[in-house]
Amino acid sequence: MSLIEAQQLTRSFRIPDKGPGFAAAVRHLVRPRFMERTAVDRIDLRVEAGESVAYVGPNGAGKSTTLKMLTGILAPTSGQVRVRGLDPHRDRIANARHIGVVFGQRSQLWWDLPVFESLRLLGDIYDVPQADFTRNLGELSELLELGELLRVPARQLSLGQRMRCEVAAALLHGPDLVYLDEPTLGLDVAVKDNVRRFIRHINRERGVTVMLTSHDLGDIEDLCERMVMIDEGRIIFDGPLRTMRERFGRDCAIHLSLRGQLPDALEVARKTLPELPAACSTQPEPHELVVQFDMTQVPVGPVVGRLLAALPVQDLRIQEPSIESILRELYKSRPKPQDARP
Amino acid sequence: MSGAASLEGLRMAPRSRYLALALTGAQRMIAYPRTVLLNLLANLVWLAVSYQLWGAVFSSTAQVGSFDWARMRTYVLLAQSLALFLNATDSVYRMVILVRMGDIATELLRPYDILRGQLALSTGSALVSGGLGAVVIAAVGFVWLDALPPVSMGAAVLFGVSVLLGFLIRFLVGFISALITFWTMNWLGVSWLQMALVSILSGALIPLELYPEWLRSLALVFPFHGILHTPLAIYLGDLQGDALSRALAVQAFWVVALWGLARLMWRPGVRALEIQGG
Repeated sequence: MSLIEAQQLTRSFRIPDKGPGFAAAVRHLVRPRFMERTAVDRIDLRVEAGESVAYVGPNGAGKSTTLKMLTGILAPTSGQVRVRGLDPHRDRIANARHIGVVFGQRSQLWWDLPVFESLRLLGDIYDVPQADFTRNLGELSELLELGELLRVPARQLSLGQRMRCEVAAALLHGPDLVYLDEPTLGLDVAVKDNVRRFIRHINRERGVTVMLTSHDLGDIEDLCERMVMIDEGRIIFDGPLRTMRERFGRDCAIHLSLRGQLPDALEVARKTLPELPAACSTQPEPHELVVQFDMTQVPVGPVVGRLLAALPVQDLRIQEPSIESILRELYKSRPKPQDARP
Repeated sequence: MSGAASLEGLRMAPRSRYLALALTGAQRMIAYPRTVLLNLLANLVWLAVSYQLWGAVFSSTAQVGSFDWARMRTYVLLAQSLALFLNATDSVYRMVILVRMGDIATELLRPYDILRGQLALSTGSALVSGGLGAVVIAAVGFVWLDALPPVSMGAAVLFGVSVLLGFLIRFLVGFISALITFWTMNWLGVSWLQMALVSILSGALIPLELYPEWLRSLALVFPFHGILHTPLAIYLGDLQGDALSRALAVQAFWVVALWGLARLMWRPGVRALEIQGG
């Protein structure tokens, strides 16, 4: 049995359908009308213990709603979800003992208490034995560099400081399943790196299952092996990050800076590379040439070799497709759910 | 690492989770001493106003219903000092804010029973703000206002018991009102309504004895009179013997009934809840 199993999981919301203006408001009062908006639409998802899954999609795709159902704070409209065999909504308390959650935009620290008091209270709420508490807190405090922050009331922390404390708060009780919703939102590079290193550590070293939503592609590339992509409530891709790259990101681009301005460089390039369609090569500037092609069809090395032989090249840069550019393309093109299954 | 040594001693031993929550409730109150003092001041103002009003009434008459001036000023004093303790439950506001801001999500992620957790928090904060206020007002009352002592030692003890039951009723009324907002999202109406019901039907504004017959009978049908009317009637000796036991039993009944109602409403309430924001 998988750690997380969701079948046909669906959640819709009822939104008041009010027209603009006073008359419409009165009309709504007399005969209210509602629209159904399906935030999560019949998704199937399995996550095995020890996996690290990136759950991505454009804003409003249904990521947070899914996480809310997986964590048990929101009941599905239909379909079902099992985490460790439990219904997370019905068995909320039992489920809550084993999970850790960071909602990047919410705080689980008590605003007016020193961070340490919040952690201590969490330790009591989760029944963490004294020995574990001391060990976990020591480790978290070292890895996340909490140190003196523990004595500061949460409201006086900067965002980066608070996020590190939030991560500590979510992991103090040693959960084996962690949901991270935008854990690095708004953090600077150093803090982001610290938080990522920590997440990678608990996933790789301690086998904690990680499910992460993020708009930060660095997070995804750094932390996750598997990617699940959702759009308009439907899963449109689910597979290894590698497959994602191979399937959707096959175009590599070779950027050449030429010595001097060569008006006929484009023609030379097209002749040198007869196997590529002419549109693959472009000359955005008189001294610059870009060749784009599907790297799974044509090997990169020989192409570069022939271009170097045929043209006076000053500088050369090969751009592999990044997850970022793939996602950008995908968000724009919105593939249909059925053709995106691996 | 440097932190290890300094972390020692920050937590000596695990506490029970509800005790920990109660202590946190108290600690949060202490974190805002000005709020506690302002609440106290507000109640002192109310006390002064009602004292003056009833003083004016009793300057022209010796008796209003079953009240003479000594009993009335005792009533007013106790009602105000208990209000501090009772209103510190603020279970409505805390819950409502959680729901409105979507922070109820964070609460639901924790492995505790929200009803008991909120009760623990309320108890903690009530002990600080109510306890302090009650001491100060009682001192003011007995030194300056010449209030009556409880009619007997027995009445004093049962008054304490009755106050505790009243506290539980007040908390549960607030909690159930907050649960209603799980469906409506309209917290202002709900919290005003419960505040009005509690003020009028508990005897906080005017003793129930002074109400017209129909209103008094109506008040006795609802749980609200158990919040303030019952303990004060015990203190003043209006309830004795069988009537007193019955009144305590009615309070206990309401505690159990409201607790059950809160439990019944909880699951469908959470199902209906649409977590606000992100």
